[in-house]
Amino acid sequence: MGTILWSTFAVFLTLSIFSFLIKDNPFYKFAEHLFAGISVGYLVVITFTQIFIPRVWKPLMNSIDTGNILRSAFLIIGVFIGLLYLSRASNKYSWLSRYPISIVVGFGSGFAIAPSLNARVLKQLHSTVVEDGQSLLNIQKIIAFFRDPSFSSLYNATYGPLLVIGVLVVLIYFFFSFKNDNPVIKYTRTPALLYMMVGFGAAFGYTFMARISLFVDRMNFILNRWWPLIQNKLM
Amino acid sequence: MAEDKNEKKWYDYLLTIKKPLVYLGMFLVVIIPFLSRCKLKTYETDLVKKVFTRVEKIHEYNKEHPDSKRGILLGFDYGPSTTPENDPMLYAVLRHAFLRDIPVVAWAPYVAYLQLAEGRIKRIAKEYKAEYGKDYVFMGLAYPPTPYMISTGTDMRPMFNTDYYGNDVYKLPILDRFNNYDAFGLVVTISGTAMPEVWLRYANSLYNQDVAVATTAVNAAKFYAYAASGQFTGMIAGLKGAAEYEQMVTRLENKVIDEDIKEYLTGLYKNVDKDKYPEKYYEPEYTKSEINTAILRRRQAGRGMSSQFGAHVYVIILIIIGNVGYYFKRRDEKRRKTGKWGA
Repeated sequence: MGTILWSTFAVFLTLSIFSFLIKDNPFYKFAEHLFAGISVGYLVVITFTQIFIPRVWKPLMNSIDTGNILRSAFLIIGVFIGLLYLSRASNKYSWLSRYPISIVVGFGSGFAIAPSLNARVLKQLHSTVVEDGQSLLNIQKIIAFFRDPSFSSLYNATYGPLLVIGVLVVLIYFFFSFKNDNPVIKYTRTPALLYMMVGFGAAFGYTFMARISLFVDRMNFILNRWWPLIQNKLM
Repeated sequence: MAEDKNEKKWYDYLLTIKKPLVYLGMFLVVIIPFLSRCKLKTYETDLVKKVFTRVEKIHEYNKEHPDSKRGILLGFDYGPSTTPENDPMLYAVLRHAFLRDIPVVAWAPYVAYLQLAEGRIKRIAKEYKAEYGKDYVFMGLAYPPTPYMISTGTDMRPMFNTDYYGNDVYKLPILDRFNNYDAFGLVVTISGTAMPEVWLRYANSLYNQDVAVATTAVNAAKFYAYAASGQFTGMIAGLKGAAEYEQMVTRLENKVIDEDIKEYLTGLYKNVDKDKYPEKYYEPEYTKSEINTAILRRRQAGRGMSSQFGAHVYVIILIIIGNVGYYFKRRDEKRRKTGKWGA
């Protein structure tokens, strides 16, 4: 019975949220506020049981029991620095929160700069020049297409040059976005826009697929999980 | 005769279709495939095949090196808002791993994902009699994720102390070997966030670890650049990608299990030592409704694809209608301005 009740409540909440498509209404507001309230409550409890207890309290008690002073001190100092975040609530002592912030920012930046440069710039740059040990502007592939024209050889011949040209024209577009009559800049604007339009179109298509997936899932829940439960109960 | 400016033209009707009608149409195109139990076979793309092949290679390696097996490190990087897309991906990847007896170590980087992850992982582990602590482990919260990813370069255990269930990480046999990147053949990040970039930055860039991404369609466009450059081993994108992987795993499962799945699940925990499966992790028996749910789960993404197809065709039609209406409206307005109306 409990399963049916909770499932029916879930269906009610789903329909309440969808009712916003018609117009804002009390059912939508109820579902929205319920979601916000439960999320916060849930996060507070889980944070306490999954972070504070196993990562702070238990190790601290354990190290005190075993007389591991160094570990206890390490944990207490960590908690103390973390608590300084709360000083933001006071106008007088809010400057104390800069200490934990500076530690987090320092650690984050120190660790992130080199790998980010490698992952997002150098490796991307490399893959715009070389793929599988071969240059993307490979004349042999173009010759291969003319020798044996097929969709696959056309794809192989055009993929690399299109990618390289795309990167260059879009870079030029953003680098020289001010008025400039230089022919290189002038004549690469339209191709750059075309490349970007294709990119935005692909992003829109994917976004649409994602949103429909959410709707499909709710329909799946109502039709394939909730409705059979009701049918079984009625029969 | 003077043109009546208020007279409604045919294209005005196209451009003023009421929103509730558009929604009703969408509702119908999504719901009809569900009601008609329409099945759509999806074609398999290279990026998804690459993930599947990589997992198969781990299996081959494990067969050849039973004493130094490789596992999968799974980042459960999604929350409730993206479960419709990410759940089928997670189920398919876990089914593949358990089917091939590949050890799985999983963690979640945010508190909101924890219970979601725990429930889903044990659900699939149960389908393959996977033993907790030996075949798989859920480490729990890895927040903030960066130090955990970095510490896995040497040993992840000191960062955790205990797993999700409170077990001492040094007492779990799976973690004796599977505690750093050397022991993992692949990191799979199932994500609805930007977490795959963080995996790429630390696990791939710092430790040269293979990383595969299973992501929502919204994020897919962003991650394509990394998949194309080979930084991601492969990519499962959106419900379509999930349906592809699901299809490949189901094919493999039919080959490996070679038995009707209903019969397989019904007889799974008969004549087994149930002490090996403490109820804390999952109950070693199946009810009728659980079996039905497990069977439905095997086509979760595939079933959604029929509705996706309907919705996509519907939107293409709407875009064409809107553009045709807009084109003729602008043409008429231009003619009216230049005085060429009716010419």
